[in-house]
Amino acid sequence: MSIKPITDFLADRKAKLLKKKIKKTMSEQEQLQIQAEADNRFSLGVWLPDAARRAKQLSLVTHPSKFSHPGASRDCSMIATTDVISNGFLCGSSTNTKHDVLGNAAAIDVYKFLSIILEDEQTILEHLEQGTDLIRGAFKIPTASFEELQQGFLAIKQLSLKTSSKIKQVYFPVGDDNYHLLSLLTPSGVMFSLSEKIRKMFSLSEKIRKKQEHSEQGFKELYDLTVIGFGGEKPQNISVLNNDNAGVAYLLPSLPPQLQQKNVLVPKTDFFKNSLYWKDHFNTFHRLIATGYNNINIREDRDKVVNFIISQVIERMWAIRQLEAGWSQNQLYQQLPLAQKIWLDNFYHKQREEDEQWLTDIIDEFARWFMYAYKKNVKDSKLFGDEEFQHIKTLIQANQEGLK
Amino acid sequence: MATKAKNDMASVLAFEKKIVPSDGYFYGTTWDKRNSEALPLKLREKSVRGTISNRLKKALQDDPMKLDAKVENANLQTVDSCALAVDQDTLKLHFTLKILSGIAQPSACNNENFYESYVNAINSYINEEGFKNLARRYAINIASGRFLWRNRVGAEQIEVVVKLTETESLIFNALSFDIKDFDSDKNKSDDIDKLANEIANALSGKQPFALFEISAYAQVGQAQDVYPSEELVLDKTNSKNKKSKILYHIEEVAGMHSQKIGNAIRTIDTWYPEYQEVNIGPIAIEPYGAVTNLGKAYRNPKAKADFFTLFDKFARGIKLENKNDEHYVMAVLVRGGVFGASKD
Amino acid sequence: MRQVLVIPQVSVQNANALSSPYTIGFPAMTAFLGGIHALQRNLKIKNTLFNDLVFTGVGVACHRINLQTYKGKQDYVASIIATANPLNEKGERPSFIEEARCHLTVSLVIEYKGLSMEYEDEFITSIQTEFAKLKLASGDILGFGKLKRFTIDEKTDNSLRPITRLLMPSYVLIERRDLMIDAMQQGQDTIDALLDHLAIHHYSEKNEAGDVEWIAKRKQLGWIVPIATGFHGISELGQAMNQRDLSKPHRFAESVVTLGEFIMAYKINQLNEMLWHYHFDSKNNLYLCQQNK
Repeated sequence: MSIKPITDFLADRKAKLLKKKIKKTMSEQEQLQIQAEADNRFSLGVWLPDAARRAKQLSLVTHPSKFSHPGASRDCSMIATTDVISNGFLCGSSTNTKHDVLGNAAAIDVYKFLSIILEDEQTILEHLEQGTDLIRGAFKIPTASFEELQQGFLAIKQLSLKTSSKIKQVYFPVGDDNYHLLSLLTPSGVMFSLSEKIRKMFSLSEKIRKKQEHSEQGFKELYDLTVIGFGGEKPQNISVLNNDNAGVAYLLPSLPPQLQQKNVLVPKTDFFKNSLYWKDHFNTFHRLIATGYNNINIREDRDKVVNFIISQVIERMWAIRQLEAGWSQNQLYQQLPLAQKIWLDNFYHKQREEDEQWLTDIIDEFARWFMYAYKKNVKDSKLFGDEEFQHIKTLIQANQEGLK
Repeated sequence: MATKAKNDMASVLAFEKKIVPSDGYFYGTTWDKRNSEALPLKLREKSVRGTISNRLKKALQDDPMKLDAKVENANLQTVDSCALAVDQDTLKLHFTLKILSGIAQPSACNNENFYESYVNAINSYINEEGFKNLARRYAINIASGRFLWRNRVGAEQIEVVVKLTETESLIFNALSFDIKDFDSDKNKSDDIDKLANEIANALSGKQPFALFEISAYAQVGQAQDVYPSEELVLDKTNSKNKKSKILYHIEEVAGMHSQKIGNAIRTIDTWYPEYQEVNIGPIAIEPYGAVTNLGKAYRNPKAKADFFTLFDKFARGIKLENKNDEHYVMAVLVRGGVFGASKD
Repeated sequence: MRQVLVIPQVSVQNANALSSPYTIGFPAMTAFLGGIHALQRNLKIKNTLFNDLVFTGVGVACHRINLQTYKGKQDYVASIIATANPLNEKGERPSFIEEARCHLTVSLVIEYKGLSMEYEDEFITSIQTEFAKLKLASGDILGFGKLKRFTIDEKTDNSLRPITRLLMPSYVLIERRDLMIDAMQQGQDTIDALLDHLAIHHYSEKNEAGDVEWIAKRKQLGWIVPIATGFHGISELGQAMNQRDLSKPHRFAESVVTLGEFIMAYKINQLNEMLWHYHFDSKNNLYLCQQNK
């Protein structure tokens, strides 16, 4: 019984070979001979046993070893079979991703063959694993038994349980002085589907940016990405997915904010007026107070935004405190109020702790700046009365530990 | 090592390095005020015009106008550089150096039998030698400022100050040492012995560790170029106008990689087979005696002089042909690395 | 009353910055807990006084971090700066996996139990020695500040202040897995849920006058980052060839990544807000570092 996707696959491979081999300059005789050889090679009876024999040159896995070390044996890979977990973690088992293939690049056609999807949406490989009647029928050839073919093809999923000194092995304590030893592998399918999604974000943002038109849906951007490469000039030596991705994957940044900032605006007259600017947050703040005051959710959200602005001020304060102690003694800063000098210049470190009058001053200035900045940054700022002023001040006071 | 399948093979075996330098920071100062003031040196970016060295296309050769234009635009490259300021004549390189005990303790070893015989071999080496020979060589490399690398060349004077404790420092006139011949009379002094002793005590476990603060001052001349480490950037971007030389800095201060300082300190191998013939002096301790800039490995397994061949015997208590092979094996363990027998 | 030890200003060089196959930067939480666990083991080996000593939780406050990547002026993405690997026996450079490194200064906050009062001096001196000999996150420890012990009485307000003041300025890493769980409960794919919290969303709004105004916004206020917090076992427990220690059950595993947040140390009010612990979830084969808030 012949199955169309299989005959198509073989016909296609045959056509490609003929196109490559047959030259116009050849005699008809030569052309016919090549044709006959190809007919034979891509007949089911010849091609299937040959492919089944070559399947063991490949490994079809979820966690290839070569991403841990290019010199690690292909046998140190894994096929994960555990259930999908869904508790807030990203890992190979929390998302549906592709399998990867590693091994002899010349045998990739075998993998492509096994991936052919038949009419019931199952792949040839899945049929082979279940030994379905359909595949038994399709693989009925005089040159090999079904069992031989099946065993040969399924070698693509055979692994010996083997780790390596080239793979990171970590101890993990599991209680009562017991440990498990974990050999760490990379689910390349997850790594590359992350990269694919990032590339899609790039192209969408480029498209919308170019148009320069109003877009409610907009686009998303990631910053500070790093690329990592596998396999150098020969990504195919690592795996098929690696080769498909040109041997490159994106890494997401996982870094704290930098305390040492390169361009700190050192205040000459007033920290709040010289060293800060945040239009966007005041806009958010504005939107929240403009929508309606008495709703508790909105009040909470508003306080979150205020607290966020406060923490930004504190971070900026630390950036200035990183400057060399005594910086405020320079002529340039003679107009800076003493309270702010004590607050910001580590020269006054002791004084800062001994008497906290300066802190009262700073909290007051902070609250007044907040009102001023809101009115200045937001076009149609809403009334900002004494009640709100006191509330902002209370929030700043609650954060005073950070201002010290 | 994998040739003999024995029950005393460790397929996984690894050691942590026992000589742990920090990165070196570059400062500029003057020779006279070297002990009192120094300013961090920053990197500068500059454009340099390379010469056309590749073969030109035929069409270009025949058209002088085009050739001129090509030469004008030739190889405009951006590179990092680093130099002393006009009022500075001395480079100060500063780093810390930690020497650790625990050589008998691999960080990973998966064979008990191997481990036992290994520990015995190490302990008998420590009892006999106490790391004196190796420590002396490390000490000479520190005192002579070998870790300055190219900055050592052509300097008028070099002083290396090794701070042992808050109150005690050793001061060396670096150029007075012979860095090709460790046994030279020039290299004998009480201070070298003292430094070597500190190192040996830590390596052999008489004290848990030693920590030194090291400052080297090289008088290289006013406004002269100095040489921080070069970065190995695995660039995968397709951008044009790439910088062709990127130098190392640590938060804006020019720096020398810790690995490069470590490499200089362990440049003590004079025991490799071709030492006399090739006349390149001591090489860094490496499992195959590899010298990166020469692209050559001086301890080839064929000559049975590589670490794996020697260690295989040594760790099983087989006496090595000569003491120098033992020194070499121990020095590789001090260097650290992954030495398991598993091929994959 | 809770006992806390702070190892301030630990300076680490060339720590492993590849915290998972998807993230680069601050070393994985497992690396910090692993380092402190090794310290506990070494103390016990050295001295029987510490037989009952347990480090029950670890907090990490980051003062500075310097990731070894390079980005050219015109590049949108950064590349990893490698260290030169030694040549092989042929004098050639062997193929290798890119290793990302960082230098960082952190303060470690360790809660401990099981130490008698009279041995506290030995405790401090032993840690000074043993910690100096360790590695942290595969990096070299170059130095650290003077160790400090604290007793926290959580019934009194502000009992944590002396600690958070010692930590300032710094950012403390806390777990924000709640954000991932919320997003996934709303049916989002894990990768999308993660990216959604990291991306900046640019979109436009039309105001009353009809002017288009572009807005850039993150999904969540605060410094949210992806973090590696443990491993997920993907094979059965058993034996495998070439395992580094034959006396321990072995299995293959993969990194697990979730969301975290860096917050300034002064914002921490309760010890538990910053402490992380080991947790083995045998049902799901999860090996985790997590918080109990």
